[in-house]
Amino acid sequence: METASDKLPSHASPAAFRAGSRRIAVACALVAAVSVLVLAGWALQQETLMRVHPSFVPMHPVTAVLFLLSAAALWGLRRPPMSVVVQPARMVAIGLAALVALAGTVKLGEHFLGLHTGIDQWLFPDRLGPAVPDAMRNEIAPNTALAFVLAGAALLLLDRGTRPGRRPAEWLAAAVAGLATLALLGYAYRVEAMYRMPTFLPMAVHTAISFLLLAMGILWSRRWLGVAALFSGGRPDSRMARRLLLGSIAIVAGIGWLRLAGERAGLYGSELGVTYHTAAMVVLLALLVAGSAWALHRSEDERRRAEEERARLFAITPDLFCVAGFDGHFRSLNPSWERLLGWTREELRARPFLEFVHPDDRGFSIERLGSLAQGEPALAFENRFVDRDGNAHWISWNAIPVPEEGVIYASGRDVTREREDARRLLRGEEQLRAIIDTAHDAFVAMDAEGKVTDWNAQAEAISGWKRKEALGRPLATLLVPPRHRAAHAAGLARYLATGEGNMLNRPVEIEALHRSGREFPVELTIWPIGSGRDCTFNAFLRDISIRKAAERSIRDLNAELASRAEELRQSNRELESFSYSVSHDLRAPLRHIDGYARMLQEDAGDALDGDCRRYLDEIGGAARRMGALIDDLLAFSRLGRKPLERGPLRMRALVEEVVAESGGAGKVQLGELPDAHGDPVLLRQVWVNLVSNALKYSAPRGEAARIVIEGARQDGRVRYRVRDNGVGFDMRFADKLFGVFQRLHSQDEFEGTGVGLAIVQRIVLRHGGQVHAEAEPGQGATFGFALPDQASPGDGDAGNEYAASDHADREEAQ
Amino acid sequence: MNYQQVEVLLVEDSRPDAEMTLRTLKGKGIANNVEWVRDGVEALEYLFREGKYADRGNGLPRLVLLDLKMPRMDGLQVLERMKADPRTRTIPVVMMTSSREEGDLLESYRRGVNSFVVKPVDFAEFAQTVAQVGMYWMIANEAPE
Repeated sequence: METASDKLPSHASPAAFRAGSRRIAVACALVAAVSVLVLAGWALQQETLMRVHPSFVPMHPVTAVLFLLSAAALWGLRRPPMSVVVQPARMVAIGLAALVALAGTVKLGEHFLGLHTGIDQWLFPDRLGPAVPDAMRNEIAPNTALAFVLAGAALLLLDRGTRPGRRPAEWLAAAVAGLATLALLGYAYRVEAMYRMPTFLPMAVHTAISFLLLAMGILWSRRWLGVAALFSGGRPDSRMARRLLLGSIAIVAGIGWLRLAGERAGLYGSELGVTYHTAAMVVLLALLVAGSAWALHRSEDERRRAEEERARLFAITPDLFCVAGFDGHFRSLNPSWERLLGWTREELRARPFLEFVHPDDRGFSIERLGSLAQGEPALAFENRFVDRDGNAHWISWNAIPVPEEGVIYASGRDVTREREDARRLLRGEEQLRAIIDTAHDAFVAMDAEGKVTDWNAQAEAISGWKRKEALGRPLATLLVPPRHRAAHAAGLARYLATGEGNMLNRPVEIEALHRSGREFPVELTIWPIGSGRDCTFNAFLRDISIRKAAERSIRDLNAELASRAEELRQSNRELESFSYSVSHDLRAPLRHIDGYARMLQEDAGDALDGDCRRYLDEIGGAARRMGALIDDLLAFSRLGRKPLERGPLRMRALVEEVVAESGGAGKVQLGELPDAHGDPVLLRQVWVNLVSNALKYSAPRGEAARIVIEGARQDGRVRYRVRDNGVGFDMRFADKLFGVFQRLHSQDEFEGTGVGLAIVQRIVLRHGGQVHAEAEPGQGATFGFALPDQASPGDGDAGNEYAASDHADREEAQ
Repeated sequence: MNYQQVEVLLVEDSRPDAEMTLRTLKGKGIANNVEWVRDGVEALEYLFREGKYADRGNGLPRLVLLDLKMPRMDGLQVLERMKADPRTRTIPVVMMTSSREEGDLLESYRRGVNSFVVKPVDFAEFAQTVAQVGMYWMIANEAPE
């Protein structure tokens, strides 16, 4: 047995109840009002109230009383019982209904079993007598009594059902409505037997109407149950059922009335009447059916359109929709499942859906399914589904269970990318945090109000303020020296207003304030993020005290160097002018000494004796030697001032030329002489000096003098040497060889100024090379020099060396 | 003063140098009529008949031997004035100096010197040089006019 409360449909809301109750109330009130009026009519002997029309039967006063009881019973039972405990009002109502049924039954017994209880004679008995002789007594008609039996039974069985969907109450109520309709049709078709005394089945017109209202009320009170549900509510089938029922009743009744009226007016006979009747019925019912079909068609169209709309939306949505059974299988799925997971929907339905869940997520997914089965919705529940290729997708679910259907409705969304983004973001933030925390520079950040929002360990170190102390405080009071604070505030305001700032996005050197009040130089780079009130300013600061000090000392050193260089330039200039003076002013007196000695010799030579002439020669010779010394000295000093002009050198040709000019070609033997790179004029001077030295110091050997000149490439250098078999020298004095005016032999032994080898060394050194000498007294000497080899692999370095020395040369020359 | 045509103007502040030069020029018979002035100012006065040479006779020397370093006005300035004036522009000028400085040499040529001679310390060489210069410019070289 089902009870009404078992199956309250969704439209049985409190508001719907109230609306339903209002209609029942109207029905009850109308029935009660009619009854009261009728009773008043009996009491006041008002015929109109009792019978409506003089030719109609009146409503029996007991009928009126039974209607009052029925209306009260209906009112009391207008809602299904809400609790097991039966309320007193409901008890009373059931009692009243039983009373009505009983009264009807008793009256029926009178009619059919000939009993006489006088049940309908206790009210206004004197007025119930036949108004006209031979007429039957006024009593409750059998159909009225039957209607009361049915109505009472309907009320008693209002909340009882035999089988699901079978409700005796509504059939009983329908029967009541049928009896009432029958009586009303009798009035309409003027079937006298049905409304005039003393016929067998007279029912007063207002009795019929009241039964109709009562039946409607009973049906309405449980309109969501049984067959009544087919006719109530806003569904298209219910609407059509109502339309067809009311339409067919109206058509059938109306056409019947027209046929009768036509026949009575003599317009046609009985056969023709039936013909017209049938034809009209066919046409009108056909129209009704067509209209209904049309309406059904439209509603079906609408439904289909709505369904297609829904299907399309479900098809295009990237979200996953599904209905899944508590049995663990999908019932239906939308196409996005196929797109996401690569399985067809048939495949997805064929296996328990947990098999598509990532193995690691099955445990908590089963738990969540358990609570769904308990009726608890799941919101933003996330688990992973595995696609055909084995890739996991994170899905966020909203699911509601419908336990009575044993299904879950769920909508899911692929949040894999969001999760990855979030993870990446989190990771990025962690990384950033780690970078900031371990940065060698101080990192500080402030908001648009100038309050500190970040402060790393290095910031603590350079400022003396702890992170905890710094956060939330105005940055200016922590780091900005008081004299810069106005500019700081103005810069901040300007950026907020215009988005520009001249301190931003580039390193700036500025003073910062330490907690102790000490100021220190920092290199500051500020970069703003965002704009307006949302922006933040991030800054790296580096304490550059040490660098500043270093820069200062470099500057000082540079200044000192510059002044030294200036001094050197000055002394160089002085030296130059000195050498200039030397060349002019020292040479002139020497020339004069020599000149006058010669003139004396020319003019008075004959008058002088041998010694005196020799003295004059000595005077002249000394002056000339000193002239040679000065010339060599000047040549040597000029060497330092002339820039090198390097070029490729055909060394062998150069040496051959020098040897030829030296006049000692017969004594010289040339070996291999690789080419080199250098200043041709200066290297020629080197060869001239070396060859003339060799010739000079081997001259004592006479014809046996031998000089060998040769060279070779070796270790990135081109080495040359001039070997003679002359007098040689003692290696103990070798370090003096290349000094200016340094000689190992007396002027008497070998003439010379002691500048030749100094010039050789100077030229070779300027080429980035080295000189060397070795000898043994009496065994000859070897002088050599080495130049960097342009052709060797160490090329680049050697080139740089050149460039550097070249540069130095020019500096020197200026 | 000399009534003969002056053949060589010797501009030399050093008396010994002047004496040696004169001795050489005369001794070799290259020029008998040599006018010796002591510095650049005097040289210009002589050439343009100004100052104490205002009333010397007409005529210009055929050769000017010019010392480079002199008090008051040096040889380069004299050279410049001479080469700037049409009257003296064509007179050959030989710069005689003790210095081998390249700067002097270049500067002299830039200003239009005809020869640049370094006076050797050796008197024999000196005499030979002076003689060669005199011979060349006085005898071998064809002057305009």
